[in-house]
This record gives sequence, C-alpha cells and structure tokens, in this order.
Amino acid sequence: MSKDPEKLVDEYLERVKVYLPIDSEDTLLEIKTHLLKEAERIGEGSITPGSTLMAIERFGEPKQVANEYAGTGKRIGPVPAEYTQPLIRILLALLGISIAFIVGGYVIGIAFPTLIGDLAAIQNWPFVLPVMIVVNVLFVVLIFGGISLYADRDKLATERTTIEGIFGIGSSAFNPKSRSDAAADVIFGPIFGTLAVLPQIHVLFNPAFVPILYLVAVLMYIGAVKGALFFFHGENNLNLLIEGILAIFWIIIALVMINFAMPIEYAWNNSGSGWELIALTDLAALFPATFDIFVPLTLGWMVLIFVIVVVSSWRVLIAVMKIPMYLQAGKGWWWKGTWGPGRRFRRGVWAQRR
Amino acid sequence: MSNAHIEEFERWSREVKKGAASLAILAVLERERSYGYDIVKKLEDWNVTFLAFEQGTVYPLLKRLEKRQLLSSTWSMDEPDKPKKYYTITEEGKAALKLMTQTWARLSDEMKSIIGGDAL
Repeated sequence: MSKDPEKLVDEYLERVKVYLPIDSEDTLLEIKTHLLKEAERIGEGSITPGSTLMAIERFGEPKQVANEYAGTGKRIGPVPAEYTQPLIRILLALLGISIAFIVGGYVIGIAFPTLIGDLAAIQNWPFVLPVMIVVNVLFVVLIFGGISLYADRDKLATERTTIEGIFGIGSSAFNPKSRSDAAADVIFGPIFGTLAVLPQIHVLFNPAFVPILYLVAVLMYIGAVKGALFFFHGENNLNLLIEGILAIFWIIIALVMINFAMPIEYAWNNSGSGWELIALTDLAALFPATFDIFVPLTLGWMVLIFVIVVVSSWRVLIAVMKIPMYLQAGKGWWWKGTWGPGRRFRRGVWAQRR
Repeated sequence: MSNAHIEEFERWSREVKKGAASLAILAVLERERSYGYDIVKKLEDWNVTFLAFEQGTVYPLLKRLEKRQLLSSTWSMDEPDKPKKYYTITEEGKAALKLMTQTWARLSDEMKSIIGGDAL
C-alpha cells in the first residue's frame, strides 16, 4: 500500500481517468484539488494517508464519479454505458495503431514488393495486424475480466482493478508526451543532427543521399526545439501542430529514403595505424559466397524506415484527433499543458483558460 | 407491503434534486465567484438535508452549466499544489437564475394549493 497522500490521490485519479473521455485533464485536476482540500479538512490542517483515504471514499467510486461527468445512458449496442468511454479509447487506439502500421507497411511494400509480396500471400499483411490485435485484446479482456472477479475483492479504493488495468491500455495510448521523451528529443536531436552534417559521415553514404542527410539534420534540430516546447509547456495545440507537421515531413523524407535500397556504401575501419574507409562491397568479399551481407543491411534499413513511418503516422493521427478536440473545449492554441506517465498533475496544469 | 413506494420516492427525489441543484449552484455563484470545493462546503454550511449533494456530483453539474454558457471559468494558480477552477455566473446564467427562482416560487405556491395547506 502506498503511504504518500498525493500518490494515493493520483492512483485514484488514474482509476477515474479510465472511464473518462480523452480530454479530461482539467476535470482530474479539479477533483485532485477537491480531494486534497477535503483531506486537509478531515486531517484538521494536515494531509495524512488516513484523511486522504477518507476524502477519496467520500468522493465516490471511480466509475460512478466518471460517469457523472461523461453522462450515463449512452449505451453503444451491447456495451454497458459505464464501459463506453474506455472501449472508445481502446478502439481509437487500435484504429490509430492499425492505420499507422498499414501506412508503414504500404510505404515499405512499394519499395520492396518481393519481400512484402511473399508476406502478403501468406498472411494478408499488413491488414492481419489490426485483426490480430483486436482478437488478442478480446481474449485478454475475457480472461482477466474473469480473474478480476476474485482478485480485486480486497483492493483499496485507490488501487486499480484488473479490468481497469486493461482499460488503462486505451487511456495510456492517448497520454500526452512524457517529459523524459521530450528531454530525449532535446538531447539526441542535436547530436544526430550534427552527425548528419559531418563530412566524415557523408563519405559513408551514396553521394546522391547526402542532400537528404541535410534535411534529416534540419528535422532533428526542429525536433529538438519541439522537444523543448513539450518539456517546458507540456501538451498544447501549438506543440501538437508542430509535431504533426514535423511528422508529415518525416513521412515525406521516408518516401524519398526508401528509394535507396541501402545508401550506406562505406564504413570506417581502424587498421591499427589509423582510421580508413572500407567499401561494403570489399567487406562482403570476406564472407562466404552463400552469405550476402547486403540482405541483413537492407532489412535493417527497411525496418528503420518502417519505424519512422509508423511513429510519424501515429503522431499525425494524434495531432489530427486532439487539436480539434482541444479547440472545441475552448482551449485555444497555447496553454501550460500536461505530460505523460511519470508526471505529476500539479506540474502540468492549464494556467490560463480562454 | 412492497418496497415500491420507497423506490418511487427515490426516483422522484432524484428528479427533484436534479432540478434544484442547478438552481442552488447558480444562486451560490450569484453571490460571489467560487471554485468546486468551496461551493460544496457553502452548500453543506447551510445545513441542507434533502438537497445534500454527493460531493462528486457537483463538478459534473458545474461542467454542464459551463458548457451551456451559464457559467464561465478561470484557473487560479495561487496555490500551485491545489490549482482552483473559479466559476463565475454569466449574464445568461443570471437571467436563467431569475426565471428559475420565479418559477420555483410559483411551483411551491401551486403545490401548496394542490396538496393542501394541512398537509404542509
């Protein structure tokens, strides 16, 4: 059991969040303030774990609290109203992931028809992916739903039930970017951006690929600026817009990059007396004739581009989904937003409304 | 005797409370702008019994009233650990409150006549 009152409140809010619509950070913040105030009152001026648990119990069961916000009675087919929001989140997450993977698979499929063609013949790639995910999630829900009937009996009000843990998958998919991810953009963007413009790196590549390295460097640096904006101001519409536009440029660059089956032609080698360039074709001669080193290198290149396209597509989808939602909620383009997991709600708040 | 009368009373109470709650919140906010927890405490301080709110139900109601443009809100960061969302009644809200108050008084008088003075 956690003894930190604020952590108890955060755990409780994570439970409430599972049943709330995607855009509910302000609601959670409002509830948090209420719980801390009430815990302070019950604890006669000090917030203790006991007074916090009492405040939480007085506030109500997470599912009921969330349904008061989200509204009840909105049953979708056979789905009970209280599970509509978590299921919408999961379906949206699955849809987004599926689209991202299909776009990635499509891009790779254009450039490598033979490889993907074989896969498609066997597994209906990449459309099999969303179907497999849906089927597996259903199995997980059924199995853990059954287990939770027994396992969750003695849990505290702040502890997630097993079924909420599963529904949490949906809420996690739409979490804002974490501060650690934003920090990684700030740190690694300039490092890789600088590497991409070094002449010592350029000589390794096919000369026709070098202009693309400059574009990659520019995107890396812009990505670092975007990371800094997310790090200091959390998620807001302007940051999402920048991230979305940047992701579109990454997809465009990936479409160009994929035309190079394998742009790296040389590697640096230390012969003992100093560094020298060695051609990959010369390196290939060192291997048995039955092993073509360009096959794993090309596959690695393909995976890299696939990952770039999938991640970028997901970012575009998130931006397209969240920006109108925030605008509709009247938040405008710029505010002090929130961060993803590992965050504390108190550090990510909207300082200004309208 | 079955519990049907209790169930009917509970259903009726919920409906009456639902209508009264928005009127009560608008009335509290007409006096001065306030945030959720403060509104809950003010209502509790009046020792209301029938209208005693479940704490968790006040916030959704505030959100709905804001969405219907009867209230507006701003965040206060005076206490960074406990940011507060202050609600203010709008002109639309004041007009709605006036109509609701008049109607409530009329309804109360009419119900007295219908039910009969002795019963009240």
